[in-house]
Amino acid sequence: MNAAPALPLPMRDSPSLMPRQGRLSDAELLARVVRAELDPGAAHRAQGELYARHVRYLYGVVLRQSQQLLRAAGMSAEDLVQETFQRAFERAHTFDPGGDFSDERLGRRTRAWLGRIAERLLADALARSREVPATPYLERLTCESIDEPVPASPQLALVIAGLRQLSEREQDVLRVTALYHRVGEPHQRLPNAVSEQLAARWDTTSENVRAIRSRALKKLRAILTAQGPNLGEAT
Amino acid sequence: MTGSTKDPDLRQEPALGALVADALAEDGQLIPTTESEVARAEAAGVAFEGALPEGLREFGAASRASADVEGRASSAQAPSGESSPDDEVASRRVVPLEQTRAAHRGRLWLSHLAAGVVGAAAATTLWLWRTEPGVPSTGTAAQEPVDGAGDATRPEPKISLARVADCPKDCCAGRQCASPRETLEVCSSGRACVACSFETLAASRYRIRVGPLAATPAGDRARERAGGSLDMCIRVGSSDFACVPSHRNRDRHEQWADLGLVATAEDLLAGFELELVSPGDRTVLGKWRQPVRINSKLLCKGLALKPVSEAGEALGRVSVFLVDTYYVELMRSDRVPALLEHEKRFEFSGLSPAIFETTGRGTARFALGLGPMSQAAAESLRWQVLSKGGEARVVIGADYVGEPRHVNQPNPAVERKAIDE
Repeated sequence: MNAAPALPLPMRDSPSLMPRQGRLSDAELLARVVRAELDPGAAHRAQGELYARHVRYLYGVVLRQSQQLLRAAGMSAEDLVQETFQRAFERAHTFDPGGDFSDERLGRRTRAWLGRIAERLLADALARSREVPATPYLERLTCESIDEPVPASPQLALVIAGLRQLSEREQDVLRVTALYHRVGEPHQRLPNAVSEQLAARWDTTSENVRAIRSRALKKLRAILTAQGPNLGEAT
Repeated sequence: MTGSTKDPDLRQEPALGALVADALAEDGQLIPTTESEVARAEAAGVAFEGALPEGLREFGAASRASADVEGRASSAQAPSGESSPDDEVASRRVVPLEQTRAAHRGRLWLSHLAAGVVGAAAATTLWLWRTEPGVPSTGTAAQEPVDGAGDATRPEPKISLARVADCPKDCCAGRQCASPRETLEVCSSGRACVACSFETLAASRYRIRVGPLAATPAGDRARERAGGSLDMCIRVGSSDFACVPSHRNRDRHEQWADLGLVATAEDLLAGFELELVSPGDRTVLGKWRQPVRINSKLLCKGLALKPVSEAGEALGRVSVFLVDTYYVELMRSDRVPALLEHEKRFEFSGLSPAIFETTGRGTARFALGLGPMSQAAAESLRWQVLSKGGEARVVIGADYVGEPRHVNQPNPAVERKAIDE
């Protein structure tokens, strides 16, 4: 979609949050962005403030991503960060502040929401067989389960260690699969375009990509099982 | 392939897949998307501490000029350690990626020009000034720099521009089409010619023009319950909703409204969505959503949307047309007289140049342009200008506001010729 001046009406308002001690919360800033039509100047200043607060964090986490993945998506880390902020401001109404949280927690919530946008942009870019503006994953952006705790599973550390024992190709396939798992494909059905792109990247077939993934998961399960009788059964 | 669901390993694959996703997130290989993942990333000191790369500095740098022009300062304070003072100043206004890239391309172009042509330094400076960062860009991928105000002291030959006949032989609809399909001889959209080829139609972008809601009795009841009016909110693909009143007072409003949405064939295919919304509490009272495939019938006859309530009641019918949205822009300026002066460099045949006010600031505030027209016609016209030594770019008018001011009273002889065609 081209960047057209389709400013949202003040619909689906975020809860009104009072400024705290002169410093506006992220939720309040995003609410101002939503109300751009009523006060474009305030909305622009709010965008600038949000950018200043979070650009270094977001750039930092994006830099940690697989450069191979970014290249496959046709994006640099800078591209992804810029695009994420742009989309965040377009979709400010999708941010759910959740409650009357502290500024610190709202900041983390904002960053998680920005992370979801970045991840979906990456998923959309990888799923794109050619340059089209459709962003089906981004379209499904929500704050659902954004406050879900990280599972303190004893398996997690083992899986991380196990992943490092896999080949680069297997790691790449699982990484891409995990990306789609997180953005809305719980049954790990990779979009055809993504599967084909993976296949092309590793000079193989889409069917073989599925086989690689299956083998990699079996290896991981074996690693987990070897550590103890209950660790081989992911629940 | 080991795709059998009898395989116990694969039956557990979703659970293991979830564990792998969590592990990758924990390991920093996936972007944190929950508060607890963010907390861990922050604790690991993930925030970038060096000098931001040019692309991200540029992202904000574009805003510096506009912030200075506005003389506005942010009243909010960034948390310490989260951003440098430079970032704060630089990021007052965030610009779209495409705009940043376009500006970047422009600067690269400038660098080459400056390096290669010493004598063109003055012109280069002028163009740099004209393409100030932060000015909303509305150009397409084909956009090129628009010439400066021109040298008033240097007599220049006039550039003749003629209307482009853009009805292809393989047309399917419209009164200018030699062999239209049955029922498509006359288009209710007002189009005179519509091509058949999907590729041709899908190459353009279109603005959404929406009519009023022709309400059913159930729609009228819904409107009464909503206090006498409803908003129609439309989006295509992943755009934001753009809203207009569902019933427009004939005395106060045009019956048709052009939304600030510009859609591609892919957007339409991803889904065209209409919501009838109560203006007060923003309750959605009715919906219509379908993927729409672009074709000659759609462009000729438009689209009839029939929103229904959650209970399945039909609430009415809304007509929508896809209209052309390409313009050939000849110049931008902060002053209308400068554009009127520039217009004198051209002779127009079958074309009506107009001055458009834009949301841009400074030298981007007003534009001298021609249109709207199809992308093919706009590109053809742009090349007419370029091949005759002028400068022009194709834009989609996304930052145009209000009604344009047509510059010339049309030449009756030319108009008659165009009509005869």
